[in-house]
Amino acid sequence: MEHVDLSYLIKLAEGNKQFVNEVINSFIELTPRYVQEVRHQCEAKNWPGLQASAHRFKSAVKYFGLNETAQIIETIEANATEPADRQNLLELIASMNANYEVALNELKNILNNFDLQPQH
Amino acid sequence: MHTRPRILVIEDDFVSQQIIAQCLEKHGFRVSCATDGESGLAQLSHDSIDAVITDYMMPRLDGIGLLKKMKEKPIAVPLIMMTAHGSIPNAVHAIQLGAADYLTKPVNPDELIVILQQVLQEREWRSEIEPWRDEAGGEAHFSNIIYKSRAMQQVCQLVADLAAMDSTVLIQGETGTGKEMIAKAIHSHSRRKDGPLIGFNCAALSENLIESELFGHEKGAFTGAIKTRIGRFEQADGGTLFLDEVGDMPPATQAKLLRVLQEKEFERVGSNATIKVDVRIITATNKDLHQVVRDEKFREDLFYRLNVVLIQVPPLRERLEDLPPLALYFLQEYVNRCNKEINDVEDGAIQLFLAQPWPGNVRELQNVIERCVVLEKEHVLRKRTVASCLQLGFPQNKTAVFQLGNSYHEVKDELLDRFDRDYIITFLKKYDGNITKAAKAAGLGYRNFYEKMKKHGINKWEFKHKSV
Repeated sequence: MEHVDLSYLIKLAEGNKQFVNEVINSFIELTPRYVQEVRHQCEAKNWPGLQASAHRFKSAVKYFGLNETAQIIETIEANATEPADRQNLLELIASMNANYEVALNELKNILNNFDLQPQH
Repeated sequence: MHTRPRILVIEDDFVSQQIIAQCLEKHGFRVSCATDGESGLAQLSHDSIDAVITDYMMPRLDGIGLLKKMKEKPIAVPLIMMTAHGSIPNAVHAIQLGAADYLTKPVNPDELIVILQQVLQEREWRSEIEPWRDEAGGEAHFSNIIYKSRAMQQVCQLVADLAAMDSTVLIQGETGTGKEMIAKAIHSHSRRKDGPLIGFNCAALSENLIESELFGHEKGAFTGAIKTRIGRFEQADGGTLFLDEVGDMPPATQAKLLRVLQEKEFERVGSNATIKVDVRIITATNKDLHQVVRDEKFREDLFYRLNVVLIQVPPLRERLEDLPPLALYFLQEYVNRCNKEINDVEDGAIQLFLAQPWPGNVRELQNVIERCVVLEKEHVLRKRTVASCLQLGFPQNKTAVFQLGNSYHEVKDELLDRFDRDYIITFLKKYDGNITKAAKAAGLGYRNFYEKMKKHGINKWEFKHKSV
């Protein structure tokens, strides 16, 4: 299972812990809705909608170094075209979700013990 | 007034939006945000935005849709498209539709800032030449080219005849005669008019950079190649590529260009993959290209490939009957732009223009008239103002200004103006029109230096070819 990598954010923040804090908070607040949207679009067989919501979620996870999750989402995005294999997509979404839950908990822990040091 | 550029970030993922905004703010940009193309378009219509950074895929209106709507309106704000890593075809598509550049996600902050600065600099450059482009070419309707002379009538007839064909065209003419405008007119009346018109100045870059600019390069092809870059040929696929100052193209690039003309294919620098393109080539030069061939500085085989149809744009001094309508057109243009109330021209003022040799041709005329409008304090463009402005372009006795009978403050302002202008010109000459270098050497900020250039109607491109 992959782990969150905050090096990109820390580099960008250049010591501004508050910024890192805010971005993690945004991720924790917003992405459950993104994930829900992905699942909902798949269940509704709205393939363009699924592509769009997967694309949005993929953008967010990449900034946290969740490359494996990003790859799964990319596959979902690519497979969400007529005629789509709904079962396969649901399996991919489950796999994406499992990764995501781990990352989410990890980020919540980071936020609780917030003392970021530059990572090399 | 110095203002920080405002950048519009359009991204439906708030996390990404927040990250990009932070990166931009840290580098001194002002940031506005939107979550889809439609709301982004609304902001672009109402707010003053200097550049757009947008996601490719978004709800309601995606990045490509936004580009098309901006073109329709038109909204002339440079747009940088963010695409997923590895989706180069999307990037190519965006650039062909007019995107200024592209970024892959997750966005590299350093790359973002470098690209944004390049795009803003390019925009500044465009704003320098756009008035000139718009004047005679309008939006490239050559029926709007302002002329009375038989010589220009013949040029326009040739342009009309060429529009229906797909031939390669060589445009020859002195600096400032409007070669780029002619190229634009040919493109906009051709079957390729809905395709891109991509311009490139062959004299502006070193040999290595020219190849990379024309043919593109792969990531890592050389030091500094931080990402795959799409060259001008790819950008112009389905449209027209205008190669300005082709006579200054380095020999190695000439050989590559010849191959593209023959085979319609090329490779990006650092790649073995052959790319095929459908591009019409229009070239221009202020040199006698045949003579450059005789001097063995230009390949003869390439010359014959380029010189399928030759358009010779006459210098202004050989078609002085075009000068009065051009002068009046520019006058009206700058009066509107500068919000002045000059509604007449004193008798004899146009005669002063007609008596000049105009080595810088129409562009020089335009610059002088802009200066006249800036300096004129009456509601009539006076001979005195014209004389004063014309003298500035030539070596002169510094006391001449006293003979104009102006007040102490007028004379002082005039001399300070002259000093400013001469100073800026000296540094631009020294640094071949490179504003960044000239400003640095002069100990002035880029914007300050550029504002002075604008005030005095100085165009950096006039200093790019001082050896010609």
